[in-house]
Amino acid sequence: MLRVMWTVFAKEARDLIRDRRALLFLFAVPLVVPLLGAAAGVFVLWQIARQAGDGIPIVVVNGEQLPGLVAELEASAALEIVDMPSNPEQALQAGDLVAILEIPPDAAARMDAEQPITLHLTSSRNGWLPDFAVLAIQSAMSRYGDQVVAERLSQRALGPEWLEPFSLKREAATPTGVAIIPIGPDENAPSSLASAFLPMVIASWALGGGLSLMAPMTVGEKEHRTMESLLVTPASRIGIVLGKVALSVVVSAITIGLWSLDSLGYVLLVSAAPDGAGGLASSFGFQMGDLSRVTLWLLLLMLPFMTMVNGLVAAICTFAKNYRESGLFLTLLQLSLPGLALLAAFGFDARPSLVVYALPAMGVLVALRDLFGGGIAPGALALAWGAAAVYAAGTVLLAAYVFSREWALMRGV
Amino acid sequence: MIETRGLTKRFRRIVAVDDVSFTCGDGEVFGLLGPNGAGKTTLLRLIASVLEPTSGVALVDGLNARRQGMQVRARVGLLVENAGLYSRFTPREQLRFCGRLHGLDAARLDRRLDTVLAMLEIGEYADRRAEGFSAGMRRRVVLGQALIHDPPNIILDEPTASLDVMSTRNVRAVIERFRDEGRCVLLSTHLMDEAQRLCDRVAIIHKGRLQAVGTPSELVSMAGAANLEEALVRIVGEDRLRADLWVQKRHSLWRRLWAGLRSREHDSHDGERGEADA
Repeated sequence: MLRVMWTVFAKEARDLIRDRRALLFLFAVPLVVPLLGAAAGVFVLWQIARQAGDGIPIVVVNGEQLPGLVAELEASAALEIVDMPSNPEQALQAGDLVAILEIPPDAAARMDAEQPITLHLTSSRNGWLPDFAVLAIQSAMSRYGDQVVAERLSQRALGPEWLEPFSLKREAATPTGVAIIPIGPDENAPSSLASAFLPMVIASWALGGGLSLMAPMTVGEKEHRTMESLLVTPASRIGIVLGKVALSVVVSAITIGLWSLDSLGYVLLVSAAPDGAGGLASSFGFQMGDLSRVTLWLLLLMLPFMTMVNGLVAAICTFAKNYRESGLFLTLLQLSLPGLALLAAFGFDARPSLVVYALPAMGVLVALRDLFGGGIAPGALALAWGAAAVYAAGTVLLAAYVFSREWALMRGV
Repeated sequence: MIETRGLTKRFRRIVAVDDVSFTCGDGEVFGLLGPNGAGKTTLLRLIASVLEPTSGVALVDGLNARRQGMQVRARVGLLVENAGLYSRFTPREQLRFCGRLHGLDAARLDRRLDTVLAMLEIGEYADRRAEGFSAGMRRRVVLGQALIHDPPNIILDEPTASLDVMSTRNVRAVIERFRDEGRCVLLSTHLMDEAQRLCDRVAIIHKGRLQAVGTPSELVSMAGAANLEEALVRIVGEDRLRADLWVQKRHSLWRRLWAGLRSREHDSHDGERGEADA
């Protein structure tokens, strides 16, 4: 049987390698999309740098009133303070000047009197440089405002906590009686909205991977009239099915791996930004050091899940009379799997009954939600994996059964 | 040797093969003749263990096609009618794939590849991808798939369909060679001259039933015909004529009933109109 499985696997793999369209569909998207994204980012940054030159030109009127603010503006690499042109309106329209920041003439006096000060900003409407200028000015104002507040607090012998009488500290809740898999950080948020959408993403990956191969490998054999040539050989039917499902699972694993790498790269990229580490990574409830462990668990859970889905699709496509019919069946599956993912994300409370982890498909999706949401009991994780493995074996056996039934094989032949 | 005893196959209400019994010995070419839809292909699939019979037995070298399907498939080479090829594979790769599924080891597979490619005269195209192959070339590669494992029993469904004259002569020579080698050849064909020239015995099958079995000359004399084609027409044609007459009769019965209903409707309408006019 293993020999048959390997023969069919090798044949299907060779067929796939020669099918440029299928390769493009399967692998080019996860490979090319991040490159396109990076290229687009570089292009945007290059355009900004080209248009800004040494900095986005702005004029500050009455700068002497707030020298601290002017110093912060000058310190910003994105901005360049220039002299007031003879015709500021025309300069704004022509794009020679991007913004005019007007400080009130009595700003210094109001500052001393600790009265609020309103600044006026007039910006041009050319392209998106004015938006970047506004962001940079707001950032400088925010820094200067922090300095002023700190000075005023120190004058009154008050600390920064005076401004924040309350703070919120979230901690991961440990399920009673069972240890948590140490994936989620103890002190960070245990779960978030972002992690709730993860099952949806996983389901999309599962549907977009090697599943598209299953139709050509099964119902395609009927349409191209090669099925009977397979059936007249003494090769075991389960070996043939296993070879086809194995290739589909391998291709799914590669595409999911590529998408995971893309996501990992994106998280790392965002983390490299000044405020990135506390941003996206913590929004998923784990720290950067946990990523490798999380990815390992993700792949471990995905393997039986993918096999299960592929086995089911193999059975459906073997039964289908032609491509059109298999397309109809697969559309129903494609609609139902995201539905299950949504149910997994929002349909169960934080600590569902163990039975949920043993449900087909749902168990893995809920386990993934919990895994990325801060933690899962080892028993629940083992149950989810074990149940998924049993279902995977069941669907592969179902596919082998359908592949050996005359009523399925001879439909459309 | 191939033997069938009361072989029957039903697809729901349709009886595709009905109580068929015959024997095809080693070193014999046994022809199956019959019109389209007679049940020839289903019969061949049953013998090759691709389909399961509803009742009856198909034996290949004494092995039961239903219970010992894998062993039977290993001893049978089936050329399927209208079989396709993997378009991104070369003939050599297609044959190698089939050979591996038949469990041939590498050395034997290489030997068989050379033999089959030479026998079917496809060596020149052996390493070209099958996309764009002519129908005749495709047919020869499919025939190669049926022969790659050197089977003692060969079942051929329309082996010379869509082949040119040279290829047809080549395939016919191959079939004669199989007979000389002592193999059992079961041949389904539409071509009467092919059956007359190649077959030691011929069975005429119609509506799933064997109508007559014998040597071509026996069938010709039995039907009182001049040749095999005329014999087939006489044996099958009379039955077909009876069936056509029955269908016509049934249709005419419905037509008469329908016409009667229509005329009654017309009469009642006319009556109503007459009353209204009055």
